[in-house]
Amino acid sequence: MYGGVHHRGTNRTRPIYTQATNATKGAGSHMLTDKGKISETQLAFMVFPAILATAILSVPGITMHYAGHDMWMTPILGSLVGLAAIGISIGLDRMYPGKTLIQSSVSIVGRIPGKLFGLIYIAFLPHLTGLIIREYGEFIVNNALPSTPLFVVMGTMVVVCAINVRLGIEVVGRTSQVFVTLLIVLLALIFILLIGELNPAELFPFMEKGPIPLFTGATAPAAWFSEYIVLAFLLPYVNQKKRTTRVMMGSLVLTTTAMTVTNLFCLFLIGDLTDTFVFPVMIAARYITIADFLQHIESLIIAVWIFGIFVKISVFLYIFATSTAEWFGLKDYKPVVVPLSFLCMVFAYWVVSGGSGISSLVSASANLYTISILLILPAMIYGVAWLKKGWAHVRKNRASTD
Amino acid sequence: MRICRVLLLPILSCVLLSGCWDRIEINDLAIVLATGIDYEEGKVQLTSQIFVPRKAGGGDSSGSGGSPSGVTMIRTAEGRTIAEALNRLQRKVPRNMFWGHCEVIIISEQAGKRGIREYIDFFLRYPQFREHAYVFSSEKAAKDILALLDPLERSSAESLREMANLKLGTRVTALELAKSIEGPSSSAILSRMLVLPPEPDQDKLTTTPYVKGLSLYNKDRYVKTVKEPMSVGVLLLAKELNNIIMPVEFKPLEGSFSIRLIEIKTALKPRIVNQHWSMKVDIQTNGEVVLNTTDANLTDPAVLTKLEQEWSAKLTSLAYDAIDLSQKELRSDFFKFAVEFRRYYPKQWKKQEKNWETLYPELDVEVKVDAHVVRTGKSTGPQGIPNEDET
Repeated sequence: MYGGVHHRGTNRTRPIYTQATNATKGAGSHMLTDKGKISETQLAFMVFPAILATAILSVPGITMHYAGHDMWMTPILGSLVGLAAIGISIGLDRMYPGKTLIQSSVSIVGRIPGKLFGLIYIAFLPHLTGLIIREYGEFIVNNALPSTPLFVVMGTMVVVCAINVRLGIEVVGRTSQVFVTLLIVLLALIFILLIGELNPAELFPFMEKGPIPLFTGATAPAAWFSEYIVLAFLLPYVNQKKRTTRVMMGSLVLTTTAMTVTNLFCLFLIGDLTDTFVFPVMIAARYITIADFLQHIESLIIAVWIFGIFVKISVFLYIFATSTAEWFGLKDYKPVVVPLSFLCMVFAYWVVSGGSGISSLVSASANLYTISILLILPAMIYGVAWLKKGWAHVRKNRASTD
Repeated sequence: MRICRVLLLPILSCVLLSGCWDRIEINDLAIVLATGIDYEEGKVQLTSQIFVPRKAGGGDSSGSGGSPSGVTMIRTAEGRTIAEALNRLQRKVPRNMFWGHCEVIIISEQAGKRGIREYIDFFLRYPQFREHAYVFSSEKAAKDILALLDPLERSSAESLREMANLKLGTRVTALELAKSIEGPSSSAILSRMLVLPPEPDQDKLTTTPYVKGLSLYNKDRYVKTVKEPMSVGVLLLAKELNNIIMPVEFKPLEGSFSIRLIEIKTALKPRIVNQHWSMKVDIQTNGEVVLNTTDANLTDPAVLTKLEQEWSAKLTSLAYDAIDLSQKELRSDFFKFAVEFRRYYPKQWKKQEKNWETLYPELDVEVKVDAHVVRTGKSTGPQGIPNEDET
């Protein structure tokens, strides 16, 4: 059924064999492990919840804690990191078209260092995916199903996501298209329903403690924006790359706006207390009371949010599965999906030790950890790629002058 | 092989379907409509008003006939902390208590004297409580108010909620109460509820709770009750004044005018000049004359101007009284001046934050009222004056 007869696009990706400069041994590692193709718009739809689904839960509280009443600006600052991640992804894709980060790193820094680099990701991705799954589980158990075992909540979601991932990138892309549309509409609905309760005067005091807390606070949204690096893994699957930069910029603007609006609503509604709640957005949703009957709609919010987290977990599981398959030089990623999903499930228990829950994990140091792997490492690879390109250019010039 | 697969499917489904862990039937729930907190002899008393579905459902009213509504009942339990009381309360109710519909919280002044921090934490932490629940204060025990069976509404919780929506006193939700107490002003103003004495031939529970006065909280403790006319001034400065008819009289006219408030805007304008802190309160208001017992004709611009001046003067003096009470007598910032200073002068505020308690009573406050009578009702001239020109 899937990976059908239409546009496989293999002809378009073929030139890579001639363009890649060296380290082209081991032909298996250059093939993509999934034959499916997605459009640029679908990619944008996949990335939006991949960043926002967990960000809207945690970012308002963390940023309020550090940046105080200026927290609404932190996503705008943080989006610079997103810009960098998009730049690196698109740049790498232009230099090494048709290769994901795991494959291009081997071409850039050589086989052994490249494989080591890939190994870092293979070790990091279950950690991140496990964290996302755990956050999902904690949220549902806290707010909707208090006596359901965590294992069941997380397990059912992982099973569904694993099926989604096994069906290929095309299915992941389409489910995101459907679900994200719903997500945006309903998220906008909560915000519209809350307008009456807001107090815009909470914008002030402006820069109460100077500009430093603003930057400290911005590390949290920055960590989420660094997840834009998923593009480096997904761009090779895009069938037509005419407007990639424009579409991705649009996606970045949309994500930043959504995050800023979420922060503003929490600030205007809950004010100084924003950082005292585990999930401030949930408090905001519970606060909706219109005309004495439109209330208790938080379960609707949870239902919609599950769509978002479904796309997010799927995207990260997909990247984890394809990266692993690419690293081991497999031809197809499908056999590894189920075992790796199970691994992520196990990680969901390992990432949180003790009973303090997820809130302690999503702290400042955790953000730096995420940023360093999702942004700084790819940036280094990209830097090396540039140096190599420059060096090759210089050598060519020298050869021609000699 | 195919049969195996077909069989496997329902078997696997059973694994998932077996546990609907959180399934609680609606008739296993005791829906709490309102909560009351009292404090007596060192113990917290938690009272819940529980909805009785059987009585609400049937249209047959030929039963006891004693209580016209009678769809609620109350249960009370006590404990050293509110959580302990909650635990004991559940033992007195055969169904699983559900607090998600609790729209009203009443804290008695007795409980307020001991501090309400514990209760606020509980309301914002216990998962089922709604942050939008309205909080009231009561003079006597909160459980007496919850026990009432309002003849007009389904329950006394409903009548309390309607009263909050009418904005007869302050309309404070649990979240707003927490914000107010944890904010820089660390104070709160709650509406004070009393029990209306029932009609002589009625059951003593068949009556309505009603709003009378305000309970003032400094830090998290109840400090004072204010009644009219002081409460009008307090509401005026707290930006909560609504729904009021005020008599205004002035010489040389006999009788008085009564003015109904249409619209009121209170703006707080903090100012710091040369280390001197002052607050300017700007009140703009529109009103409508609903009663004129004087002989004066309101079409006369001179009378109207005079009336507006007198009304302004009356509002101004009410506001100054309230400020005196807050600054001199109670020395606590009920009107959230601190919030305004923090907003407009964050740097100076940061320096003086710790001294606010000593700074506030010395603060210069200037009140400026701009009152307008924009309507005079259906009539222009005075009505109902017996014809005196005959002689």
